[in-house]
Amino acid sequence: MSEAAANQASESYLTSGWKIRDWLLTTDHKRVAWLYTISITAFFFLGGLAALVIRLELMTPDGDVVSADAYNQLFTIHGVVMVWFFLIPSIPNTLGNFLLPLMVGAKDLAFPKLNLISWYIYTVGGLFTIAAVITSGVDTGWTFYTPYSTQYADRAVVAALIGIFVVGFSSIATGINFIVTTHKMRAPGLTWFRLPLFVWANYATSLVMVLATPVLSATLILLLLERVLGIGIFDPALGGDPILFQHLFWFYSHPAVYIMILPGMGVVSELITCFSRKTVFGYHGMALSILAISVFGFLVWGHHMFVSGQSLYAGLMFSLFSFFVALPSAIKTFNWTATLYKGKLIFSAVMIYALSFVGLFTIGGFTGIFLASLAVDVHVHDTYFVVAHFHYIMVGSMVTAYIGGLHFWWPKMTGRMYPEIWAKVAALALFIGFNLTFFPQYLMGYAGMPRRYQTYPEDFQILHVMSSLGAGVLAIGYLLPLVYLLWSLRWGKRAPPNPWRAAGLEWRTDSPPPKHNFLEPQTVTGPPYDYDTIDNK
Amino acid sequence: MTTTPSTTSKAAPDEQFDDLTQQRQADLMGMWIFLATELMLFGGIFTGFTVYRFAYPEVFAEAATHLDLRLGTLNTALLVTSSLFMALAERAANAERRRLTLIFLIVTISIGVVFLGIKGYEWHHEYTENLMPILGLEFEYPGAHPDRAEMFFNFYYVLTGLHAVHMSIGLGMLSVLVVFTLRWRDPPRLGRQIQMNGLYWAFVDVVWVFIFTTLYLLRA
Amino acid sequence: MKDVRAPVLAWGAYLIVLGASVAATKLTSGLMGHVFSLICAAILASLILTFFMGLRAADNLLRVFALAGLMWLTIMVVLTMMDYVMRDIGECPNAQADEVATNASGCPLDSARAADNP
Repeated sequence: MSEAAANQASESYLTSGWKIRDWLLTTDHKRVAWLYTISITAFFFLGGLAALVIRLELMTPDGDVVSADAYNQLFTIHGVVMVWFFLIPSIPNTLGNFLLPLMVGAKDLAFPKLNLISWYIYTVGGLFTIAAVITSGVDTGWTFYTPYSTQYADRAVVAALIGIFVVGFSSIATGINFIVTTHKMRAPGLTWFRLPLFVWANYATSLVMVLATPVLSATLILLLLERVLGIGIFDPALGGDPILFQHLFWFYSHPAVYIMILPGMGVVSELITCFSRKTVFGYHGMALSILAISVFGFLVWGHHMFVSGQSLYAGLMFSLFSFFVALPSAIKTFNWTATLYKGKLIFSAVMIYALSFVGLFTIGGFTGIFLASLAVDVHVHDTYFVVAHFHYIMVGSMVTAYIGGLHFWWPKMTGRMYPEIWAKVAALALFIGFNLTFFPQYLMGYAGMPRRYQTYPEDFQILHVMSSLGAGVLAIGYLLPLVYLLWSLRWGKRAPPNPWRAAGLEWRTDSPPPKHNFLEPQTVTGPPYDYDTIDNK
Repeated sequence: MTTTPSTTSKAAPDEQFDDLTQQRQADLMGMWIFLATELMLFGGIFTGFTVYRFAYPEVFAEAATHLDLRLGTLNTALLVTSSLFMALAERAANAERRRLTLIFLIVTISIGVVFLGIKGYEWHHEYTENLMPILGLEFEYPGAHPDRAEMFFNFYYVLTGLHAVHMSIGLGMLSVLVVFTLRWRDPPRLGRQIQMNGLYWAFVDVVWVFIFTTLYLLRA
Repeated sequence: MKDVRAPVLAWGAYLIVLGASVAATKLTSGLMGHVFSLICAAILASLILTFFMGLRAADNLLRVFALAGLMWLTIMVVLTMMDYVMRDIGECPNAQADEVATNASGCPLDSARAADNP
């Protein structure tokens, strides 16, 4: 190899080519990860904006900021955008896309072109839905329950469904790519039980994506056919059962919750072990419980339907299965805690994010057990208790893990360090703001405040005002990183290859990595998270 | 790097792979996982069908007798024959026999087109009998419970329609393969492409087996 | 060209089983014929999978994936039916919700068609 060629090979992936086509037609998984990061950040702040208007409206018991109709559209926008265009692709398609090949020691994903195409599918589908929802409005909520969505709701339901249908293909493409990469592209010596837990988590997530997303596609096809061609599968007038829609919908959408949370668990496992300077407690248990969650996740969807009119027998069985999911989740929580035990804890910003995750996930998980209990759920179903529960999991846990992971791998992705002080402020603002926003919602939900209402009795106002103020603090927690991370791109300190002295293949290469990730092929000889050896070197 | 001759050689794998075996295995696995997603796609609709088949057994069995069993059986036989020729085309390509590959591919496509033609004729026939409750067309069903029979026909059109869409996509891909065979630039690569498309084509056949059995054969 | 015999034989076997399945439908009626047809469908599908899709020669991992797809489909059907075996959907949906307005056929209003109550 000539010297020029060697220089070209070692050049960072960020510096090689800055023409438009170098980014928009790239097949480099690291650059596609950036494309995704930009898109999902835009969608996140759009969804967040809708949430802020909702919270503003709920400051007073009367509907005085927006009309009732606009309120319905706002929570639909918030749900659709946050679930499908932010949470589902968030960690897998940004951090996962960037890190999975690095962590398994591969040059790229197995199907790089498919990876790029998946971003286009995602972006086009997302923008299409947004355009439809904003210009003509959808008020079905993100769940599109029949018969409302098929027979009553007018305007842009069809367009929104088409957009979400299209975005599903990007999930499927990502899932296929990750599964094949994990199976076929691992470096020599990197056996399954030497894989980082982040890879395990993304692998399990991909399995769920691949097995569940097509059912959503099928369900959306049926909805579309009923609306457009009048082929009424859920039409009660033909002896159809609208509840069947809920079965099919939740067959996807409950596992989708695990698409959202599993990658977060993977991220946090990496973070906690690194900043405790200790190997993960019970690595095998952690890996297997990730798989167990992804499998059990498919058996529990009926707990969304306890009061829908499904048979009592089904309700009992789904309730029982739902408790099973608590087992692997508890294993994970205990193992994170045990990893901390007698570790040399470093309270960096990243660690604050990780610990916030564990705390918030525990609260969200425990209240999940309330909701899995048939009798309790009948009381709190469709109240703010449910809203608080899933926000603790999907925002408190998942978004926190995402932002924590973004900080942890930021030096690797950009080659720059972020300002630690500001990161700590943001992490604390996030934790405080989040709890202030959503803990009052548990209380008002238990007291009977129903979800999706624009107006409410005055008794709830104090809790609602607390929640709205918390949302303001939370917004600061989200906006601060946006500012200082962008700032660090230009003015941040240059990052060494391994600023955290972390284990894992991704830290063996430069920050930022060269185009093909590693200059020499990597081999793995030991177990993961060998922090004793690293620290004693 | 780009000027080194080894990267332009036909035997080289794509740049993300170490060797051709790895690439081939990855492609195969990717295809099989994709087919699993297709199974779940049709599976969602079959689940719905199962629910109603269980809830209204008599009406559905009665409604099934209004489908043309002879044409359905013929189509099933035709489709498996096209799968056979697809499998033969893969073997011919692997043996690097261009003419034979071409013939087998064209036979496969032709049978596929005939299948769609017969399916279209069936739909037309049902349309003339007012058994097509689409776009507000009138639905006149001679038997008992016309509303529930309409549900049967809804599933009939959803399932056969979705299947026909998959067939059309398959036919499009096969046509591209015909062009590749005419060019005959990289026979081993063509063999792999034919194998991938053959998997898809055979899978569409598997789906049809279940559509045919559940819609046509479970009759009164 | 090697191994042409197997797919051709599989094709022949397929046609025979298909014929049997159709014949069973025409000759017998009722449950037994239906069960027979469904078993035949499983045989037909496995013939295609084994001989036309190369599952016979495939490595175990691919078989696992094929099987996983099938298993997940089973989960979906079985757990969904868990609801429907215990419930008659011929009855009004939301039949538990009492004290709501009903339409002419006695079903709660939110389950009736838009056209029925302008």
